[in-house]
Amino acid sequence: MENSMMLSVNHLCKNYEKFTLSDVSFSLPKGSIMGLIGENGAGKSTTMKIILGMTCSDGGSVSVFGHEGIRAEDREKIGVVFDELPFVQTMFTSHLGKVMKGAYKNWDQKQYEEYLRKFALPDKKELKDFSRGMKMKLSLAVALSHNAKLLILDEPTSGLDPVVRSEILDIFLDFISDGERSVLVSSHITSDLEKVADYITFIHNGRLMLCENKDDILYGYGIAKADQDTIDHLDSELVLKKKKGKYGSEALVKDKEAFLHQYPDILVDNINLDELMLLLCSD
Amino acid sequence: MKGLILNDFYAMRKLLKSILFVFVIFGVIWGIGKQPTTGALVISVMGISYLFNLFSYDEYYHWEQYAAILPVTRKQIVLARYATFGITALLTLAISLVYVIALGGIADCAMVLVTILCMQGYTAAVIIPVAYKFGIQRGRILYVLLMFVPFGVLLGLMTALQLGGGFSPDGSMLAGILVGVVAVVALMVAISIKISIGIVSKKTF
Repeated sequence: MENSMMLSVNHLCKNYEKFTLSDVSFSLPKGSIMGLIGENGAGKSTTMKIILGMTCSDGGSVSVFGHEGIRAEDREKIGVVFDELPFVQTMFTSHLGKVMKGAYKNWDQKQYEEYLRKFALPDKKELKDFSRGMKMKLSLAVALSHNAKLLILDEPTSGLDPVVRSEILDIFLDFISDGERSVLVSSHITSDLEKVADYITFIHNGRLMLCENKDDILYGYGIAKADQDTIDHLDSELVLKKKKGKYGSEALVKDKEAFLHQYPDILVDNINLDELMLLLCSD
Repeated sequence: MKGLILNDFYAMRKLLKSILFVFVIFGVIWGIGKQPTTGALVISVMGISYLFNLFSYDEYYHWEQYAAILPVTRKQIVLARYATFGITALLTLAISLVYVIALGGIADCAMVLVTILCMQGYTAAVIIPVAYKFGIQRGRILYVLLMFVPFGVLLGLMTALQLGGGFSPDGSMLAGILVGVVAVVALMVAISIKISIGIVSKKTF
């Protein structure tokens, strides 16, 4: 079982003065995309940084490529994209290629140049003059040009227009198509994750709220809508969360079919990830 | 490690023109004033001072963070930065020596060589761990303060020698003193590398 996992995060904890990440666990199988969602400051970036060895955890463990911890040589096989371009922006794309060639043993210059062409990224233009979309594509080109097995991406589609976002999502799907590579991507644009992710992990206030197959969420979960009294008296076994609204009340239902079997007269709507997040975070 | 060093030099690429311009200006000024030795020392110190900008770039562009996810160890990250300093130091040293020789100061070559090596070694030894620990802005202030230390020691020594009736070493004694000074600076650089590795290894991002 362990060998089919690209990444396993087990009971991860990290204490900061004003924030605590506690008991976060999830596993990312080979050939799949996992979307990491949560509000700003929920702990998504902290989790990614611990996975990448940029920050130490105070508890728990991380296994990458089937072994515990991350070694310098593992980084050869991990492509990383941060939300900001982390390169000196007076450089050209060709300079960056040479820098990366000197950094990665498996650097594929031909592949890099192919991505530059595909993304229409010019040379002889300083990186600071690139648009946000171009910068993100450049980060991706670098991440995809050293034969990575795992992509870890922190908000790669934020601030991008729908066309560029769609192109980037297609790249993710292409990347995992051989069944041997995986993507862990954090994003606030949950509609993107609904399109490409196989699994969704939701972190709220440093705690794991949910980690499930995306289709199980979108097709299994639902929102039951009724008056306050009806919602109050629902079988608690079937309901994850209840929310009082101005014009009626809602309940988050984990198994739509079972719920409708028991309450055929109550309206149950499909749910999207945004609604799920809001309901799970509500008091 | 090669990639990290290349990154440093590409980052400095745009500064090269201004560095060369400053070299020419100072070279001409001290050349006209018939003080090529002073000119050479200034060129060397200024050349290596530009490397402070590398730490600013690291912070501004979050390169430090990216370097931490490259397939290199923290030790290699530190060694690469010292290598950049070393390569730049040697280049400016070569320019300084050519300048001194071109202006006919061959007799001063050995003294210029040793002085520059010591100044550059001291600069690298002090500024790199300080910049890693405190960031380059606070590091610059601390560096300026620490630059007074060698001058203070030198001044103190000279005063003490004068009070003690003067000191006029012969050739071999002078050579011994110079070798000793270079050895002390080399030791400082070695200690500085060890301290920097310790600081960077503990860094979290």
